[in-house]
Amino acid sequence: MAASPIIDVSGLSISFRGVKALQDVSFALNSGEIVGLIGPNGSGKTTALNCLSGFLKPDAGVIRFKGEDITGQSPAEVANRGLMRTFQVTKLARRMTLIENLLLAAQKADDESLFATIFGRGTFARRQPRLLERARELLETVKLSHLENDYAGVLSGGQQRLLSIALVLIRDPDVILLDEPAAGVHPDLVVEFIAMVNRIREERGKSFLIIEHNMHFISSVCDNVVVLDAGTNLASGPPNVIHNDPRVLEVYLGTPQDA
Amino acid sequence: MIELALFFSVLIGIYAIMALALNLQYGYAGLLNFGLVAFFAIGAYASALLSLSGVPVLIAMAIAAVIAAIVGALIAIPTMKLSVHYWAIVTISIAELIRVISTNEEWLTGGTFGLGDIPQPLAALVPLESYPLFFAGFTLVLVAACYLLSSALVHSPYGRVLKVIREDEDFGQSLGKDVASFKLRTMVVGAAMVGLAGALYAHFTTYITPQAFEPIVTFIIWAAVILGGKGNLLGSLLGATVIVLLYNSTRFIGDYVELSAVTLANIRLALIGLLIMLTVLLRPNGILPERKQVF
Repeated sequence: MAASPIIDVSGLSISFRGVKALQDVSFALNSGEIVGLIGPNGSGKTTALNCLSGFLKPDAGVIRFKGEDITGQSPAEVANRGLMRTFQVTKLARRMTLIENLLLAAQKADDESLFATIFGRGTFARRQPRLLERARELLETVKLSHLENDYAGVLSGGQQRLLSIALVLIRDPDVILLDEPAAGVHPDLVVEFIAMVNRIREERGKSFLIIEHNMHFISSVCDNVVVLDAGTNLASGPPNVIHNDPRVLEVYLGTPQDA
Repeated sequence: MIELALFFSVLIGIYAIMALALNLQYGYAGLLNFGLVAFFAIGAYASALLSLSGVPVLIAMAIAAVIAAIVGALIAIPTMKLSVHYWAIVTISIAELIRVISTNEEWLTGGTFGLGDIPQPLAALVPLESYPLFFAGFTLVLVAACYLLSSALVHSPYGRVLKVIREDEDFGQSLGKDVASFKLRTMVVGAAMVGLAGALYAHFTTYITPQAFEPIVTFIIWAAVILGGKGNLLGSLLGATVIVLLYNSTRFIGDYVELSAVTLANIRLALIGLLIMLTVLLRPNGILPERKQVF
């Protein structure tokens, strides 16, 4: 029997005041795999990601993560299980420094209890140097070391996206959901992003689900692509197959004559 | 003169404790609590009633802080899912609710006549002539304790979660932080501190009426935090000092200028308002702005 997928979405449906954003959408992600989620604007990609990460509760359908049903769990629970996301419009704590943002991401619920704060300060203080070291390593990886004590609010859009990936990585999740990581990012930086995602997968064996309109990005990193259209599954398969699928060309990529 | 100085230092201490509490809730966690006076009243009445029924004053004060904390939790649990501004309105209405109860439930609170002859802490042990000095010292100890507690909270992993609530709750959630539970805890800690300040007030004045718990108290605490600097605990101490001195010294304008009581009361409030406007214009982050934590 083949290993069961790390994420298994089946029959996902949700509507907003009668607008059916997702209808019976299913897809899966195997461990160590990178899957692209593409489709025209309004096809339900981000809605699907919001359901996966707990920010929306689907009306129907089951989301399994590492074999367990996580449908309808809170975003914090989902994140703590090892399924983490970034946002299309990057979210950060703007009036906290880069290092503070990273420490915030790295610290665990035990460190944050009132009891530990008042009576057990030593425990975290002992771990802090190691977390700081890890935070600085990650800042090095995303090339933001020189800004470690600046407020995150001063970063440019592209730098904010880089930081948001470092914030996810410091918690060492099993699966990372990226919502348009390349949107509004300089082409050179996109190349770096692609290299980074590939390196993270190779070195750490992470799985990714990536929403992206940049087809170069998708074909450079993804093993498989899931195409959504109007809230339904349109097609899925390896990038080169999807690239030539007439249905996908029609609704999303455009026919060769158009291009 | 010494008496007056001691009187003011106690009053400043009471407001400093409340300003620290508000700074935790608003300055760090971004929670708009416009109902602080509710917990001030609960602390004052609880400690007064307990001590009048024979409970030793120090124990009564501790229980009062716990009662305020419990009420804080009871208010927070059903309302924490509300967005910031709706929540702010709830806090205002709860403060009014508590004041109306304290005015009307005469069997409990003495109604508009209030409660008198409230015992003072360790009154039997301290000589009468040095009691004001003792009380000022007692207040200082409580302020120091609340300052140290607040400082421990904000300079910790817990404090970082507070800040992420202020910055972006969804972001906090995406990092696995159970945001609602942190709001609840911060509400509880703040309520306990404000309740303690209320207890201190009751035993200081030995006489409380519902008039002591008008929304103006909340306003003065907010003024102290805005002036001193949100997200800076020393700022809260400074802000409380300046605002309490300004608000109470202007009482004496009437000794020099012929004014009706109503006019004078309004002028005193207007002066605080003016100070807040100047702060917002000239030093929007307060006299002591939030400091960057550098590692």
